[in-house]
Amino acid sequence: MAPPIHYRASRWRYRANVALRTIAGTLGAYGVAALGAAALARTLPMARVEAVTFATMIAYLIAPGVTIWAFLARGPWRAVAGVMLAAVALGGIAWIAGQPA
Amino acid sequence: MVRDGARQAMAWLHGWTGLLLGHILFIICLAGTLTVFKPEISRWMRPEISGQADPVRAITAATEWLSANTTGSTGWYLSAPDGRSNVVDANYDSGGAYMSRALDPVSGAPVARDTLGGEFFYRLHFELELPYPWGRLLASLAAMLMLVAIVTGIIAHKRFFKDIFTFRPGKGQRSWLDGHNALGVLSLPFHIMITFTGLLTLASLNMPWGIAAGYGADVATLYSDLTPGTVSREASGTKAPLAPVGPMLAQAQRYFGGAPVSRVYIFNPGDAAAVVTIYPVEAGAIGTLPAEISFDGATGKILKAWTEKRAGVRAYQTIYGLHMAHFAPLLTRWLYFLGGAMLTLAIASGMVLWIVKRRERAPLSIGNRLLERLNVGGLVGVPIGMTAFLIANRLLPLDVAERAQQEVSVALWSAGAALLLGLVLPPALGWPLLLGLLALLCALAAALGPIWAGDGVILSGNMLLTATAVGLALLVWKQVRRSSAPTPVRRRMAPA
Amino acid sequence: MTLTIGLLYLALFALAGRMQRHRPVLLNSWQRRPWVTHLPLAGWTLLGLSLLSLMLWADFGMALVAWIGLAPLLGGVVVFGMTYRPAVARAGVPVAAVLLVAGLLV
Repeated sequence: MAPPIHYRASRWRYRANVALRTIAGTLGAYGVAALGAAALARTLPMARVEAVTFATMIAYLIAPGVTIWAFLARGPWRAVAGVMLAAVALGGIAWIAGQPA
Repeated sequence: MVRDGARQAMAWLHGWTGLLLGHILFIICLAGTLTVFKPEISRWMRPEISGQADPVRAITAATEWLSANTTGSTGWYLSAPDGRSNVVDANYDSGGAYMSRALDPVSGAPVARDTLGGEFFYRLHFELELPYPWGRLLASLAAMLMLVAIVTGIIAHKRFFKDIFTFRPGKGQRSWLDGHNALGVLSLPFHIMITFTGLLTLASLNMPWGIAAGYGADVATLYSDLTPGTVSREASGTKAPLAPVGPMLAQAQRYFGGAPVSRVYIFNPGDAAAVVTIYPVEAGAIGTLPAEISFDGATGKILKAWTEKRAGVRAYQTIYGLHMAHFAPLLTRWLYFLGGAMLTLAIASGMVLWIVKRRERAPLSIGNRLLERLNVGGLVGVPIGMTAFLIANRLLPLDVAERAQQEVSVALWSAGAALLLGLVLPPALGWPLLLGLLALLCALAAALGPIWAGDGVILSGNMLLTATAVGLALLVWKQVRRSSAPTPVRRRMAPA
Repeated sequence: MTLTIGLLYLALFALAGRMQRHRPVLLNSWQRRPWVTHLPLAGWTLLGLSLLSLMLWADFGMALVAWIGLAPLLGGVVVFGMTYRPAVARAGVPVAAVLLVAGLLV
C-alpha cells in the first residue's frame, strides 16, 4: 500500500515508524510474553506445576495484546518505550520472586 | 483510533509476514487439514486389512507377536484400533533398531504394505520433514507470524464488517482481495482458535520460559509433577515373561468407567520390572489424558491409577484436545476440515494477491517475478507431492526395502520436480499445466484405489479424489479459455 | 442443533441484507419494506440468540466448536449464493425458518 502524500515528504520518518512498531510488535511482543510467563509462573498462588501451566497459556494472550498496542500507541517511540517498560517490570517481578522450590 | 499510518504499517506487516512464511504456512495448513482424516487416510493406504478386532483382542495379538519377534526392547508404544483406525499402530525397538509399524488387528504381525499412512501428513503438519527440533521450531515461528498476520489483517482491513459478505468475481485484483477477505473473515473464529491451540501444542518448545522460571533445568521434577500417574522403573536385568495383557486391559477399562482402552505403553518388556501403562480413548470429550493406569508387567498387579483433576493441567489438555479434534463427531470433523481448507485457501489467495496487486500497478520486478513462479511451483507442487505419495502407495512393490520411506521420497521428489517446473515455465503456462497435472494425478490415485473398491472408507477417498480432479479440471479449462479469448468472461458463468 | 443452524443462517442473511450493496440481490422485492431499517438489530440479535442456543446442546464445549465451524459454512452459502445463485441464498431463509421451528418443537 502506497503511503499517503504527507508521508512521502518524510519517507524515512515513515519507514522508521513502521520498523520500530514492527520490532516492538513482534520481537517485543514475544519478549514481553516470555517474561510475563516467567513472572506469572513464579507468582501465581498455586502448586508449581499449575502456576507454570497457567502462566504459559496466559503468555499466548499477552503476545497479540502487545502487538496490537505497539501499533495503536501514540508514537513509535512510545510503542518501544511501553514494550520495554512492560518487559522490565515483568522481568523484575520474576527476578524478585525467584525460582520456587 | 489507529494512529499516524498505523493502518498502512499493519497492512505492510500483514503482507510481509505472509510473504516470508506463506509457503511454510500453506504446507502446515494443507497437511493439517488432511490430518483431520488421518485414520481414514491410513485405511485407504492399507487396503489389504479386512479383519477387525476389538481393542483388547488387537492389543493382545500385538503383544504376543512382539514378544515372539523382538529382542532387547526398551519399550513398545501401541495404539489400539477404534471405530476409525483398523490397525494397531506400534512404535518399538528391537535389537537396537527403532521401528514404526502398523500391526494387523487379528494376527498382530506387521501389515505387508509398509507405509506411514496418515501419519505422514500428521508429521508433515508440525515437523515439515525436518529433523527435531528444527521442524517444530519452524512450525512454531510460522504459527506465531500467522498470529501476527491475523491480528494485523483484522486491523489493516478498512471495512471489516462491511466487506464480510462481498465477493465480486471476474475482476482481477478486486476478486482476489474479496476472496482472500471472505476466506479469512468468515471463519475467523476458527483461524484464531486453530492458531492459538496449535501454538500451545508446541508450548514446551516455543514458550519454555514459564517452565524455565518455575523449574530451571530440573526437567525430571517437571515431568513427575506433570504426570504423577506415571510409573518409571529401571529394568532389573532379570528376565520374566510378560503377564497376559487381556486381564490388565479389562481392569483398565473398568477403571476408565467403561471407556475403551486406546494407548498401551509397555516399558522394558520381558524384564522382571516391566511396566504396562494404559490410557483410555479420547473420543467423547474435549481434552486428552484424563486418566491412566499402570500394571506390573510380570505379575499383572496394579501399580498406580491416576485421574487428572488439576485445573491448569486440565485446561491445557482441553486446549490440546481442541486442536487435535480426536473428540469430534463426524459432522464436527468435517467442519474442522472446512475451516482448515478455508485457512489454506486464504493463505494461497493472499500469496497470489501479493503478485496480482503489483502486476496491475506496474511491470513486475525481478524479485516479484521470482515470487510469482515460486507461487506456481509451491502452491501446486505441495499437493502434487501429496498425491504422488498416494500413488506411490499403490504402485511400489510390497517387498521393496524401506518401503515406507520410499513413499515419502516419491512425495518429496515429485514436489521438488513440480517446484522446478514452476520456476522454469512462464506462469501463464505453469499454472494450467501444473494444475492439470495435479488433476490427472488425483484421477489416477482414485483409479488405483481401485475405483470399484468395496470398502466404504476407500470408496469415499476415491470419490473425494475424483471430485478434486473434476474441480481442478474445470478450473484449468476456465483458465485456458480465458487466456485464449481476450474478452472478459461473463459473470455467473460457472457455478462453483 | 437445527435451532442453532436456523438462527445462525437468518442472522447472517439479515446482516448481509442490511448492506446497501447486497440489498437488491438478497431482498428482491422486499427491499422497500419499512422493517428493512431494523435488519442490523435483528441480525445481531439473532447472532446472539444462536450463541445462546448452544446452552441447549448436551455438551457446551462441543457446541461452541460446532458453532465456530457452522459460521463459515453458512456464511459461505450466503456469500457464494448471493454471487452465483441468489435464489439459493434466498431459499435458505424459509429452510432456516423451518429448521428453527423444528428445533423449537423438539
